[in-house]
Amino acid sequence: MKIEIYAYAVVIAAAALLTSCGEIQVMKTPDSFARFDREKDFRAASADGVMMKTYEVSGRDVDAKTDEKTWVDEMERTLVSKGYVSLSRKEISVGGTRKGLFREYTVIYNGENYMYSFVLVKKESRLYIAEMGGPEKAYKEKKDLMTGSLNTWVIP
Amino acid sequence: MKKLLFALIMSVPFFPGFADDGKGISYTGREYTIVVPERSAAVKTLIEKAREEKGIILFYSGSAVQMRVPVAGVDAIESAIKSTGYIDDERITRADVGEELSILKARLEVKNNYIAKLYKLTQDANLGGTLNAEKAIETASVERDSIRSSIRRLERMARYSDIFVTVNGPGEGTVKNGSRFGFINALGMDNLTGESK
Repeated sequence: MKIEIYAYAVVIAAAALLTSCGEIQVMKTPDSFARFDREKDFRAASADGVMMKTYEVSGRDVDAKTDEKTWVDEMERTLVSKGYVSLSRKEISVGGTRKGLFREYTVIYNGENYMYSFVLVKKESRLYIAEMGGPEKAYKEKKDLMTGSLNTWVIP
Repeated sequence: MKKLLFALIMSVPFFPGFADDGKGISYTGREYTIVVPERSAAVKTLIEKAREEKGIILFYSGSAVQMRVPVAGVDAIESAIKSTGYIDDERITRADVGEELSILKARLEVKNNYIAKLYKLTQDANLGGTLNAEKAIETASVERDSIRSSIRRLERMARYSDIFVTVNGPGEGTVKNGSRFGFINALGMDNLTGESK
């Protein structure tokens, strides 16, 4: 019986290791946000419900040849099919020296107007993704803080 | 007298084709299929917007709204639809009602003249002739009311636009099964707030 329990524990630990890919995300937490310290990905939340998350994706699907725009188009296509309405598309400064593709959407979430955005940076066969979202008013107030913080994002 | 009445009835032309005051008038119907994250919220938003634009709701359910709105409010409704969700499909149908309206108006004019002549005839006729004329007036009045009703219907059609919106939930749009890349399917507010299932 004990052996079975240990076996399950090993399998769960292995699964956790496989799903959490990439390096620990390092960046300055925006003012008025609190970071969830135990997460490997960068996750932070404000008191009024704005959320921010950055993480790295790599694996056999992400090859070095596929360009950023292809990834962003695929991401947009999927979001739009979920009912997200595109608001803006631009490039923003990320990590001090890089450019990230920024896409912003409006969406009705839990019956309220929300705004959601993501930023994508591609480096070789790794994707660095930042997601930001929250109630419309609160998001707009904190948008500059969040995008400013992305400038301190350490992309190895 | 009977001969005179018969001649009068036979002289009524049905389609004179000279009136042109209804040309260029058309009716527009619109159908949309949209994808939204929350159906009930989207249906509520569309109903509120239709009422705001002085439209009427002909039908609604948890996944569809049918409304009739004044032509002046159609742009505002379209904007509301676009901001409520992603438009997956859009169909616009137009019907030219101008010609039909012109014909009906011409028929109405002829019918009015005919009734006026019949009334004049009753003044000069004997009792038997008057009775015949009154019967003809009654028949003509019924026809005139029918024409008026058709004109009103067409004019109302031209003043309003019918809009039918089918509201689909997430995953029911063109991209039915999401992306083949798992992390892309995890994008969005659900995952960001940790409420994904």
